[in-house]
Formats: sequence, structure tokens, C-alpha cells
Amino acid sequence: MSNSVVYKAPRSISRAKSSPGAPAPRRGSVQSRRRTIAAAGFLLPGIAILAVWVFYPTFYALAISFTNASGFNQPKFIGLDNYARIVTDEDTRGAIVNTIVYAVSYAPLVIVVAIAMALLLNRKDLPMRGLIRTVVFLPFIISMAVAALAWSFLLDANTGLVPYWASRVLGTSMPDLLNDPTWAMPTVVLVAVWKNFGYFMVIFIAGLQNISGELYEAAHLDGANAWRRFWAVTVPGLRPTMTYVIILAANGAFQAFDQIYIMTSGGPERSTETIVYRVYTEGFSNFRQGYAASLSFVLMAITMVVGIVQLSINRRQERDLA
Amino acid sequence: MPAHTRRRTFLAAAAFAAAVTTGLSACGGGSTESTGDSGGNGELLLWHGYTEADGKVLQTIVDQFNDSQDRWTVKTEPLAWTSISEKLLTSLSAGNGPNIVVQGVDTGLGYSKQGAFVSLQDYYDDEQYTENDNFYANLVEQVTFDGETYGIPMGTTAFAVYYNPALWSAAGLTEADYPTTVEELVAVAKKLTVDADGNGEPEQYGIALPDQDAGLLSAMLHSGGGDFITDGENRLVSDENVATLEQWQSAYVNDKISPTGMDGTAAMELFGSGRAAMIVNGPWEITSAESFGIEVGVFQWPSDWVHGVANYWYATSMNDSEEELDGVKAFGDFWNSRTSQIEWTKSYYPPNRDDIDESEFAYPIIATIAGFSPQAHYYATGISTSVTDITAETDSMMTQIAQGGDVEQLLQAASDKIDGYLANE
Repeated sequence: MSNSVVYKAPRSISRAKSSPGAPAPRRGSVQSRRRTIAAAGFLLPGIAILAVWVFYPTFYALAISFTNASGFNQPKFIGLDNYARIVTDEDTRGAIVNTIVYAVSYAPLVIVVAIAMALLLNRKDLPMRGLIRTVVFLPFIISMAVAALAWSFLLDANTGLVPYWASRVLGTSMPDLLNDPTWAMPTVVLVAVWKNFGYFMVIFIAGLQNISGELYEAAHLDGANAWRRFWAVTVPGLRPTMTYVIILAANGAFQAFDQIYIMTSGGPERSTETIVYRVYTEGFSNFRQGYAASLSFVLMAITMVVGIVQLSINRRQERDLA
Repeated sequence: MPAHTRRRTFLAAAAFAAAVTTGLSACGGGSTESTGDSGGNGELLLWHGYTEADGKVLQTIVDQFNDSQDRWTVKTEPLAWTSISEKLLTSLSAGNGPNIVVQGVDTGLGYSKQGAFVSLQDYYDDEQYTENDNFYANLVEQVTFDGETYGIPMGTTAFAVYYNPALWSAAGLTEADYPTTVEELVAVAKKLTVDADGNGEPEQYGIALPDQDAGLLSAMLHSGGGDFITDGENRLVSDENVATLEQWQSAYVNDKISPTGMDGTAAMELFGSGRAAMIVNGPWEITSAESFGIEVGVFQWPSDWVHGVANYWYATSMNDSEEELDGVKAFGDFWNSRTSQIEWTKSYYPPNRDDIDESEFAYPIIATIAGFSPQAHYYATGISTSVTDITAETDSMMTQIAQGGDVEQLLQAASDKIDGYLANE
């Protein structure tokens, strides 16, 4: 059999057409107008919520990104000064680098862990599968603030349980994970992975259950071992899910803030200061909301580029498979 | 009209109504009426961040103010301190912020420059307000910017050295050993440091000395004859500061009197866990240590300059009439009356005025703490927009120094960064 497996993403929902036999209402008829009004009525709540909570703040932020707005003053138009400052601001450049480091560490790691756990917990012969799935998913439903606070206590070099037990078991003290510039970023990333991989795991389990068992049987009959079946059946079968998860994980990574705010406050030595943390500092501590807005648009541009690149890669792969 | 079409139209109409409601409620303000009508009962909204026992004492005094007159009603809204910082500017610009807010001296200049806080100079000039004659002088100076005073003292205190009496006694120390110089403090901390297994990692530290605390850094520098940032001028690089920080570096690195990589909260946890015998902190350490089952003793930071906590009542731009400002001043005056200040000592804060006999304080330890108030200073003055960045820089510098980095180089590097921030003020 062929190595490639064609898996159609459920995009067809958005392209659905009415069934060929259904009578189409005539344009301009009373029925057509009623349908239009009803459709508008149903759309309006969503549009209103988006307009108030997304579009207006976004355009307002875009507008003030070209001003010296402090949050209280009468903003004055300053052209591209805020955007030019991003290039020269050493702290912001550091935050951009830290954000990229965070994203390229977190996104692959959380996906690998989630896939591994999904494969394990998708096995029907695993005892207490439901319980384990629940336990693994639990960290996702607690807030990041609570998780970060709990880990801060656990990892505290002087009073935390983790360093205490590590020293008892290993007989030597472990590094001060949250106060050592070398370890702080990996620690923050690992806490985020611990917190979120359960969610991605559930998505992958759903993706795995959409792959037909017949494909595995056929591959097995063709003599493919488990490793081969993983690469030839599972991975292509999970591709649409993967695209969704990668974009979700990358977006989450670029917006990292809450665990950093609580666990390290951007330190030590600014080693965990991310773009969103910088936006917060500039906007709420330094009275530079115009500059903070310009930073948030740079962040938006970065996440858009990542999303577009990932989608185009996925489309090319789909075309190749088709 | 067919039934299913009617149902659909009804649902669509309901959805439309919900959308309109959502939009309108989003646009609605949550402001509290603040009429300021001279004859009526104007309501003044007050934001503060006191959520522990001190919050209850605060509420008692507010209730007493409300009962004492019928012109103003102060309505309190306790919030996390960080929430106040995040919401204050935007709520004021949206017109639904508080009339009175508690903030530290560090934010006063920034908000005043933005126009978010208004001058309370009249409170000090107008003779009808009588309770401000006995304030500690440094309290008023700290919130006077360009000749205008913007705050009325709320909760102010000096940092001091709190110690665990059990560990103190176990080391053979008595009250006669209270240090009066930095050298003596380090010597006492060495005596209290215990490394029984000799592995270089003490089981008990002499003192929890947070290296990520700009206030303590400032106290160290001033106590050594140097300076930090005064009136917006960076004075970090000096021979005195190099000598001072080398002295403290030796105490951290060689004598291991304190762990490094700590902020104030981590230091409190260390002290509370019984793994540190002393801590430099404010009076909230008393209740914090009590929650860990530790009774504390206290003595003065061994210098005539120590950093303090100075929270003030600020009048915001929400007070757009003289009547409303009169309400803020009346409340500030009531807060600082003898009776209210005696009540306030129940929160373990010393009073803001120096004319109350120590026998009237709620607890005997307040008498000791109150004695330190004249030495209390704000750690850096003249900074309006870069407080967070500057403290991040000095925290980083001090941690590296405490871990053995080159003092002169680190001071210079931090100073250069701070110059950049101050240039952008």
C-alpha cells in the first residue's frame, strides 16, 4: 500500500452548500428577506460583542500607537516615533529575543509531550485510562496565576519542597531555578508545558480517534512496525490537528505573561522579560500607553507571520498529499 | 407566517436585543455619584489595598468619619495593590475612578505629572485643617513636587530589623547586643548563622537580606555615606558606594549571612520558616511572623537613614469641584486626628504624628517602631516614569554583587542604564 494517507480536514463545514434538491428562495422574495433579517439577527450578538470587545479596542490601540498617549493625557500624534523606538530600545529588543526563545522552546515541547501522552492514553488496553486522562487534564483547568504561584512556592530555593527533596535524594543542592538567569526561562517554559499539555493532548486524542483503524491494520499486514506506522499513518492523520495545535501553542507562547509576572517578574536580570510583560510595564508603570500599543502591534505582526507560514506549509502538504 | 418562521424571527429579535444590551452595558460606567453639593451628602469613592487586619482598622476609621458628620460619605473599595495600579489611570480618564486613592510616595510624582492627582497644598495652607501641625517633617517633604504638596499621610513607617528572640537567645545574644553600626549588624548576623554540617550552605541564616529590594539597597548606600537617586539625579557611582557594596558583598559571599536571589516576599518566607534569625522589614512582619508562630523583637536599622513605607491619601482628578476637594481634605484631616491615629496603631503602623504618648498606642512594640519614624526616607526621589525599570536594573545589579560579581563594573553598568531611563523621563 501507499505510504501516504489522505486525511481531509473538516473544512468542508464552512464550504457546505444546500442540498441539490432543496428549493432556493427567490431573490427579493418575502421569504428571502425574512431569512436575511433572521440571519442578521443571529449574527448581530456576535458582531456586537466583537465590535465592543475586539474591534474597537484594536483600532483604538492602533490609533494611540502613533501618539504619546499616557493613558490620561491628551494624546499627541508623533508619527512612527514609537515604532522607531522599538528598534533602539535595548530592553524591548531583549524582550523580543526572550519571547522568541520562549516560543521556540515551549511550542515544540508542549506538542511532543501532548502527542506522546495522547498516544499512550489512546490505548484501549491501558488500565484506569479515564482517571489518568482526567488527572493529566486537571492542570489546564486551574488558572495560570494559581499554578504559577504554587510552583513559585514549590521551587523556592530556601523554603520550597522541590529543592528540599532534591537535596535529600541527590545529596546536593539544586540551582535556584527562578533566580538564576540560566535556569529561569527553562523553568517558566516547563511550568507552562505542565499546565497546558493536557489540553493539547485531548485535541490529539480526538485527532487520533478520527484515523481509521483499517489503515493501521493494513499497515500492520504490510509489515510496518510501530515506528513506521507512527510516521506513515499517525503523523499524516494528525496533520490538520497539528496545524491547529501549532498555531494555538505558538500564539499562546507569544502572549506569555501571567506565569512570568508571578514567578519571576521578568527577572532575574531581565532573562524572562517577554514582549507582553514589556507592554504591561510600559503601559501601566511607565505611563507610555502609546509605546505599549505599538509593541502590541509588533507582537500581533509576529504572531500573524507565524500563523500564515504555518497555514501555507499545511496547504502545500495537503496539495502534495492530494 | 409559518410557525417555524415566526419562531426564527422571535429568536433573531431576542438575539438582537441581547446584542444591544451587551453593547449598552459595556458602554455604561460604574462610577459612584460624587455630587459635592455643599448642602447634601456627597459620596466619595476611596480605593485602597489594605486587605488584612489593617483593612479592618481602616474601615473602622472611615465609619467613624462617616458618623462624625453628615456632609460626606466615604465609600471604600479594597482592591489588590496591583489592580489599583492597572486600573487607576484608565478609570480616571474614563471618568469613573475614585475620588481618593491610597498610593505610595513612589507613584505620587508620576501621577501628579499626568494630572491624575491634584494638589492638596490648600490642606496645609488652610488654617481650618489643624491636624497637620504635628506630622513628621519628612512625610510632607516627600510628596511636595515643584512647591505643591499632593498627599496627606496615610500609613507611614520606617523599616527596622525584626528578629526571632528564640534564635537570638540560642546564640547567647541579649538586648545589649543590639547593633548600632553596620559592622556590628554583620557581626551579629555572623553569630546567628549556623552551618552545622560545614557544607557551606547554612541551615540557619543570620539575616534575610533581600538583594532584590531597591529600598534596602538605598538604605545600605546611605548608611555607608553614599547616595542612590536624589531629585532625579543618579548618584550611584561613587567611591563610598563601591566600598559599601564590597562590604555587603563580603557578608553575603564570605560570611554567608543571607541567601541571595530574594525579594522582600521570599525574605519574609525565610524568616517565617525559622531559617533566618533577622529580617529588615516593616511592622507587617509582626503579624506575618505571628502567623508562623514566631514572636518578634525589633531594633533600629543601625544608621540614621533608613528606607520607609509612606502611603498617602491622594485626591484624584475625579474631584472636579472645590466641594469635593474639601471632602478629601476633611477626610484626610480626620484620619490624622489624635483619636484616629491611636486607632490606626491597632494595625501595627505607628502614627503619622509625633505628639501621641506611647502609653496610648495599641501595643507596646509600636512605641519602639514609632521612634524610628524620623529616620524614614523614600529610597529614590524625583523619578516619575521609570521606577519599575530602574528597580529592575538595581535588583539585577545587587543580585550579581551579592553573588560575587565585580562591584565597580556592575555599579557602572547599572548607572549607565539608569542614566538612559532618567533621560527619557
